Amino acid sequence: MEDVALLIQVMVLGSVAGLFGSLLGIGGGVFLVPFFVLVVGLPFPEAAALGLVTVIATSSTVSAGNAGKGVFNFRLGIVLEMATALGGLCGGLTASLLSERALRVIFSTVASAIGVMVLLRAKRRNIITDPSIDPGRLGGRFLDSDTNQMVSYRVKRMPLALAASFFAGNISGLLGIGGGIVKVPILNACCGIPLRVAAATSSMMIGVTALSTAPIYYAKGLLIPHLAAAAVIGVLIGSAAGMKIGVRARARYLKVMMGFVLFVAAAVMAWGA
Amino acid sequence: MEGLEARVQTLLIWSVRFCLLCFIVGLALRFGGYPANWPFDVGILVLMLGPLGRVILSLLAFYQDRDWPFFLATVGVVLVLSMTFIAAWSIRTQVA
Repeated sequence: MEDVALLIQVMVLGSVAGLFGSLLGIGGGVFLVPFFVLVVGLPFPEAAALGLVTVIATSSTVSAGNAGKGVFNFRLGIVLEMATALGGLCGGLTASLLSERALRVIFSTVASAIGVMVLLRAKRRNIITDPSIDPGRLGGRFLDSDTNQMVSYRVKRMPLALAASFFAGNISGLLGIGGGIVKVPILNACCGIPLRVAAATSSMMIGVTALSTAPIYYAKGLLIPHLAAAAVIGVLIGSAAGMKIGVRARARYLKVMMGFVLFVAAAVMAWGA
Repeated sequence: MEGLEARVQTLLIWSVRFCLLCFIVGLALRFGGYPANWPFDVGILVLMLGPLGRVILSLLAFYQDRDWPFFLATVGVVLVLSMTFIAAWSIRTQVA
């Protein structure tokens, strides 16, 4: 019975992770990994392995659900994915230079700073209402559900977007998270990308980010299969609910929610440090 | 890039559905008193193949469009993922 109770808890938390994942383009590993370490009592590597598998599940579900809505930016996604993958590769180097505690402190500090920035810019929107304007090679157009009209956007400060993606990839494998919690706010607040596009593109990218490390954890036998199954089933339920809510939610409310999630994630990571 | 989103959607939907089916079978066997890891292993493998397939579909789309800068960026991602899978295979062989 203890096993059933644990699986139900994991499914419920997986649902919460899937809900935020589909709304904000984050994988949810940032909530699940501390839960597995602090509540279930798993060692950190096993918890990180479970976190990465749920990130892949969130990514696939949300990407499949968002396809056809024009909010993906494949070109931007693939360029940032390269930076993320390189960051993931360099993660091994970082792991030998920094302790897990140092990484958690760095993550908490960065997440808090990004949270403040997101809330300060919550009212600002990155859309150009003239759909005929040239968005450039990396920009795009989409149907904005807030105004119900076609809008354009241009990508600014690409080096910063690449640096954020590299950092996200770097911490992803080490902390068992997808890195969307770093990428989405930076892309939205600093790089001119509307939140819906940033979240959809990030949800696509985090699957690849997690995939650049998850097979290693799996090969080492660190993945606990039945817990992974329960977490993934929960994520699928939460993602389906989140996509229904996300269609109606206004961008400003999503930004406030993102700021709140960043503070919670920062606190959770600092607590475990 | 025409049709890429639809192809990606089909691929991801089926990978998630098949993975879900495997996980449900695995949990049912576990609670039915016949614990087996193979349904979980198959499910996890199929789940992992989803994003990899998406990158390969993007690679093909950029190739068809003769969009070389983005094609090369995608090749870079495929190379990194290949290195990860090779490393995982090597670790698995050593563990076995």
